[in-house]
Amino acid sequence: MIVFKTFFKVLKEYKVSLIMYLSITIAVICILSSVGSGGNTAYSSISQGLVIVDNDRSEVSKGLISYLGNVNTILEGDYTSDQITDMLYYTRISNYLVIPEGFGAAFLEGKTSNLKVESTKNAGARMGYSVETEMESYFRLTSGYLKGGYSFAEADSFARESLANTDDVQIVAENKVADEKVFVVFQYLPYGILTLLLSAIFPVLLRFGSSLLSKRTGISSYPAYKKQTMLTLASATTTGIFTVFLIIIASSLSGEAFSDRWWLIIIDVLVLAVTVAMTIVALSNFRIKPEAASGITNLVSLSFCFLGGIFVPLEYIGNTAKAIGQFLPTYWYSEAMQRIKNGSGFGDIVNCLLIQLMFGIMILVIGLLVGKHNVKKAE
Amino acid sequence: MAEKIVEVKNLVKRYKELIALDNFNMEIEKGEVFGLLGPNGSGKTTTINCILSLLNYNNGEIKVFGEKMKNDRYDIKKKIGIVMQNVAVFDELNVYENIDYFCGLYIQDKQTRKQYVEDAIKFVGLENFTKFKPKKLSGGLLRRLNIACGIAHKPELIIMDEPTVAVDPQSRNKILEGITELNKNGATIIYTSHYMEEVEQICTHILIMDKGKNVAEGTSDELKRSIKNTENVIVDIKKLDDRHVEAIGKLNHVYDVKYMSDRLMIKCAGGRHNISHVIDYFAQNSIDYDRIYSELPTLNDVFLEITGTSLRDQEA
Ligand SMILES: Nc1ncnc2c1ncn2[C@@H]1O[C@H](COP(=O)(O)OP(=O)(O)OP(=O)(O)O)[C@@H](O)[C@H]1O
Ligand SMILES: [Mg+2]
Repeated sequence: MIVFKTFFKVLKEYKVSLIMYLSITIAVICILSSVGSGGNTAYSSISQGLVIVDNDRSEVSKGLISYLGNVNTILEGDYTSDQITDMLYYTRISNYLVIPEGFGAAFLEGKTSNLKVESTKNAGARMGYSVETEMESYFRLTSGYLKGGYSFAEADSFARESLANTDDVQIVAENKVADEKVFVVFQYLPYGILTLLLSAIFPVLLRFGSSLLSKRTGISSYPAYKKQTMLTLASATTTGIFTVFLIIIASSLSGEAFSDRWWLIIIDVLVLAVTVAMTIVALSNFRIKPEAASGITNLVSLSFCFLGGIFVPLEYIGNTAKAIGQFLPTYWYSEAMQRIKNGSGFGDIVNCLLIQLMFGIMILVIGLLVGKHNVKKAE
Repeated sequence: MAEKIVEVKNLVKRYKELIALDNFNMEIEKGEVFGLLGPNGSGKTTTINCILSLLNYNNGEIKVFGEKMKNDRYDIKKKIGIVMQNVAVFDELNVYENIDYFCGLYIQDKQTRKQYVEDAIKFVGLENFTKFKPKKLSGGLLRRLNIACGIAHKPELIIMDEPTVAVDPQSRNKILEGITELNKNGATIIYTSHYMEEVEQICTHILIMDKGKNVAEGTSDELKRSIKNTENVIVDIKKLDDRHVEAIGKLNHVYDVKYMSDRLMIKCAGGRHNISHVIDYFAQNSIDYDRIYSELPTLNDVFLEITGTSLRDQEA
């Protein structure tokens, strides 16, 4: 019991950095949850305004307009160029499209190379881009079916059907949805877990493991296995308390709890916390001075977060970083998060969870071997 | 025969090529203050670490309280208190919490422990510093904390590895008095040091070790009697011809003489009254000197005669 109790007495001495990291985490979560959009309103932004001038009036141009109209809102009426400019500027519409005369005829003849729908985008280029992507996909598919000998009406309906199922459209649709609060907040949570657990557990374990003190404890009648058990128990308790605390804060600020996907997210968080705890225990076996703990806390938490897609979404980090990131548990935390966001169930994220745990177990084994080696070397 | 608390037989410990302990033998009886005296690197700490099963040794046998000592003999360890050569305390804990932790490794009962911790604090005189962190303590006070952590659980055998290194004379005397008191209260004590004065002052039995070997042992008097050196005559003198040095060396009972930095050191073997012969010689040859005095041999002389090197020389 004395080791367990002393663990927390020593931990108390590191409260300054703990409070600092806790404040940072809570502050960032607060900011993120006010930026991220709320649950249901998110989908209303899928639909974008379009103004389409159809100078062609062919089967093809009508097909395109009706397809785009499924996903977007087409504003009817004649507008002056000043009005269009204003509408683009105030983002009431994302694109102003002009379908040239003869477009449909040329398209049916297969002369697609020089064919172009004139598109003027608004300043928020990402949205305009997605309409162009939609058009491209539509033309690519319909021209494919035309070449296969289908009529345009058939090609049009096949294209719509497959576009409704393909990833193309899904990606386009996702880009349009601002991430929901719960994902924004929990995506950031690993930074809190890493910094809090590292700044709490790491220096204490290093202190207990410092060669003089561990020798001194080893001489006493306190069994070595009991000391190890108590330290593990105390580390686990600390991990549990901080993780639950962070989950409560994140859930209440994001306004979501106990939904099916929330439980999946929590499982992901818990697995990461366990992995981080194992990593810390492993690191404490290296001969490091407790004074160096704060530097290492920063190094580990920042690199894990940047390379693991915690600060920057995985899709935006470079390939090299991604390649390294794949060896970190945070990468697989983000990956699992992404899958949950896309509506995956437990079966789809279970390998992400296992990879995290594997990382923890592997580094733990390495750490324990290093610790054993250090003890041997001292003799 | 008194009960044997520690028995070390033919202990051999190698660090790679270096032989730190070379067939080392030692027996410690109940109630002794056993002094382990040797220069730096002679193997004192290694011996202690082997006794405590902190180190694996290559050969030999160690019994503590009559039983073979092993790393997992927690029942034996419970009866041992240790004051390590290097201060081992938690920087994050204050004086009271540190002593409480180390005492708590042995004593589970809270009430008893509280009493023991307070006793230990009183014993080393740290009453006014209980809330201090180790970093805020002076070197001497830190040593005292180290001692308190080692003895708080009231062990039967106390092992102290150079507890007075880097402690000012006043604190040192307090520590030495404390050790004598612990011994009076029934504890057997192993005390290692390379300060022969300390060992002479408190130890009832002294073992001199050098290069991992037991070179001599006995009480302080026994050790001194065992050597041929019986008296050292010292003369402070500014100038002295070599021929006089040579002549003094030939005086009766004188077996060694050195003249260095204005000081003449004369080692004599027969009895304790050789100083008069030296005074006579200076009078006959009309030689002036500043001061002349006689000293009985010290443990350093014992060490010097047995090993051919001085304990003192290696201290620096
Ligand atoms: N871990 C080690 N690895 C290699 N050699 C060691 C180790 N520990 C001690 N030694 C060597 O073993 C010899 C005995 O060392 P030990 O520490 O037992 O001496 P000591 O009598 O306690 O000296 P001191 O008075 O300086 O404390 C020394 O030569 C030392 O250099
Ligand atoms: Mg030593």
